[in-house]
Amino acid sequence: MGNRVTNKNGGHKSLNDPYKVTREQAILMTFACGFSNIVFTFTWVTKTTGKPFWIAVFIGVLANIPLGLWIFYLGKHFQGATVFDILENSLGSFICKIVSIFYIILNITIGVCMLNLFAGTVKLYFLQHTPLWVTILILVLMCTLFVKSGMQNFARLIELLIVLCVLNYFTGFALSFTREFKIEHITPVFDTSLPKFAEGMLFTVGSVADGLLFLMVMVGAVPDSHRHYRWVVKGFTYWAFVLSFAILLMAGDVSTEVLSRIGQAGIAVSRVFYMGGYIRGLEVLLLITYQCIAVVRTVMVLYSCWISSQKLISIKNPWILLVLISLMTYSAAVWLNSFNTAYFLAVFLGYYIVLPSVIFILLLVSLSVVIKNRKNGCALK
Amino acid sequence: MKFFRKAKKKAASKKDYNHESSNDFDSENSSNAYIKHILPTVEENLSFIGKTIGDAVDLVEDRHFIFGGKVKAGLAYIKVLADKDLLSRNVIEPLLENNKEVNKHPGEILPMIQTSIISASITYITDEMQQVIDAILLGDTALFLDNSGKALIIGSQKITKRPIEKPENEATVLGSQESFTDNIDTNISLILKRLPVRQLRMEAFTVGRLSRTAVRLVWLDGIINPKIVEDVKKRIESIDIDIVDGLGVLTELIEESPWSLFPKFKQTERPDMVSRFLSNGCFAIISNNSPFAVVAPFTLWDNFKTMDDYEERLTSSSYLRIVRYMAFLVSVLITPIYLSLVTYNHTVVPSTLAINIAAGREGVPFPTVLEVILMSFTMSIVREAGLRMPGSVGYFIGTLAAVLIGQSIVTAGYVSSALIIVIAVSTIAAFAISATTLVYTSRLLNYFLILLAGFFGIFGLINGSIFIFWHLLSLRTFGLPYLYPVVPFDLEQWKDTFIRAQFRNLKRRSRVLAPYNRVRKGK
Repeated sequence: MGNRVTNKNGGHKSLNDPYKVTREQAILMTFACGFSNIVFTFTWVTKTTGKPFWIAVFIGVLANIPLGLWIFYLGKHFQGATVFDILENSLGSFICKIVSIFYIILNITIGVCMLNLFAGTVKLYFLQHTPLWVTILILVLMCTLFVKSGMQNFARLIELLIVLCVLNYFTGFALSFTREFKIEHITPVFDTSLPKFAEGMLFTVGSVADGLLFLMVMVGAVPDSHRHYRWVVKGFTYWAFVLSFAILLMAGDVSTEVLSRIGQAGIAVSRVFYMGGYIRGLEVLLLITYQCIAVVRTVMVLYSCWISSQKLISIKNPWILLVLISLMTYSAAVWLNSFNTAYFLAVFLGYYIVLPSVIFILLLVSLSVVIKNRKNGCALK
Repeated sequence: MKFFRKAKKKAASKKDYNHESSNDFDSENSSNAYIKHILPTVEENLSFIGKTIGDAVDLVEDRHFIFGGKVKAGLAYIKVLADKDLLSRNVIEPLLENNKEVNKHPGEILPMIQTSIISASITYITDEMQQVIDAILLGDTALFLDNSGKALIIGSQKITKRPIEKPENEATVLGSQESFTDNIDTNISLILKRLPVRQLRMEAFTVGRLSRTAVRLVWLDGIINPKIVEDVKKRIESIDIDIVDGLGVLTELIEESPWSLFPKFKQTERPDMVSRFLSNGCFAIISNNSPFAVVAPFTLWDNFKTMDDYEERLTSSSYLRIVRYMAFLVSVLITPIYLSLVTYNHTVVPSTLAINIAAGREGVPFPTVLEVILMSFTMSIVREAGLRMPGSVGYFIGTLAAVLIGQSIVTAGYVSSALIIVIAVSTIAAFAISATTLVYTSRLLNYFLILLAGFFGIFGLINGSIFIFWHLLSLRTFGLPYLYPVVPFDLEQWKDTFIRAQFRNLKRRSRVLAPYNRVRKGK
């Protein structure tokens, strides 16, 4: 029996609502953790790695599984607690607050990138005369509302949107398959050196790792997380298959060389598809997928920040904190106001910031668990 | 925050006021009825009832000397509510014809009258004056004897029933042709006819301080989740309102989120539909003065089910159900999609079609979004006018709107012909949805998405759709998620959701509605 994080009155303290996610929701939310900036920045992998970029992405996503398992394993010692609950309980509120501030800044930066990448794409292809701040405002408002409604509701929303966006994506690309897909676009598969392949793979690991930040708070809602480690494995494995297959299709349609020169990924690629004289401009269809991804990602970022911000300030109405976080995210996103800057910022985060940060937080939490258990006179089993 | 607190306080005080006023009403009633028990003499009782109920309701007070003129009896009933033939034939005549002298205490005579002399199907003895007054107001008759201290209530309600007719709003080709009526007893009999089993349970409620509307909660014991029954009982018992005209008021008072656009009760006039839902683990509510029953818990997908789905062949019923889903999507989405493609994403429209649309719009003075909103609203007006008018006039209005307004408006160049086609398809598609309550929902959703598509094109349309999904996912009916079994996922129940699988495959009931009795079909 693991420790339980208790409040001052001795009762069970759950910063999240007491809702436990179902098996399907846990798997699909882990899957959605992969909805990181990689959906736009995978073209960077194409640039660095060449034709086997989809294999590098596949392995890179799978490489996040051990980190996901690490987070789920922490739940064994503190059931129903988030990573921040564990930190607060073991190392005290000061360290927890420091880590929370860092975590919030990191999450907001990731969210700002996603908002700008998506809003920039919308501006380029759909709403040329609408300024970015309007598009971003609508997204942030909507996502704030979803987060405010509680984990139960947005977990269900994520469940539905993931199914919709995956089905929609592959339906769109299936239309192009016979006419556009050419095997010579993706062969020979291995035309790159090992360092370049490793660079692409490591970049993918770092980019997808931003989903682990959400997993750190989601773990509190997973019942007996250490027993359900398969959910993490399934979630990341499905995402690895879906993402690598999707980008393989894109490369097959427009060639790796072209793909490495575009920023808006799937939406840009889908513009070349047509069927007879009737169906053309499939970017309208593909927008649904990217919009679902942007909404899911923003919801995850806001929720993660909201939960950790409650460690910083204890107020009667936590939704005020949510409003503040949304305002900060929105202001930062409007301040950035550029697709290109967001793209390169996301690449920078993927290379140097996200993965080391995740590992640092997890090491700190694990250390705190060891210290706590030693103080209590029991060793980690 | 202060404002919210103030508003809350205000609401609370208002609630208290309402509560007080309801007590006032009761005490006002009981200011005359302060006497709790039956009075000793017939005259005292009749005069008290006369004062309490008043003469305006045609209260009849009969006095007779029975048992050879030794015992004075008084009868009180309301002329327009009681069945006078039944009273004279089964009560008054037997009482007067009985000349035997009795040497019993008056308190013992009433049971004797009840069991040996009069013949009425419903009789009971009470010593509470309030119960007597309530019974008289419902059409029953009270019989008093001097010095008995009790009253015999004789069921004498004169029931004016309309015959059982064909269902008008849920017509089927192969299904039963019986529908509910305004009379609660008839409706109960129609359900009993279809579920003649001992597990069928009913609980009676009277709601509405003034209307005193009789309501029955019906469920199948051993199938439905008992928590749902307890929950709905509590909700009905908590109703404190003056008038409950019918099930519309009642359902709004007991549902979770009445502001939502989506119906959370299945309103049906078909007893076979009720029995099917009861067998799934739902409950039904029927009330006096309402030719409908409502069924819950109810999901979005239940809106698309009809009784024909279970009478037609498997393939046909599945096809028809898919058609209804498509009709709903078309009714909600076709106009905003047209609007966003024409206004923002021209490249998606095939060139020949784009040229046609552009030619049709030549000379139209309004922007497309305004054009769409005006035409959609005009359609709603025509529909409402046709619905509220008597049959032939309604038909005339429909034809007038279609031929004169539709054609003239295009000829005059106010609206493009392509738009008329899109609006017409959207409106007609709304009528293909089997649930009448969902028709209005589809219209309102259509407006919502038209506005978003008008402002933000396909981006707004997708955002609006995600928002609607979120709203649907946050809805619950008596604990059941509104999108179940899609979210939360339950593959077993998909067999009767988007299509209707073979009956031999519909083996298990929902784990939420019937957790303790899931087996629907044996081997």
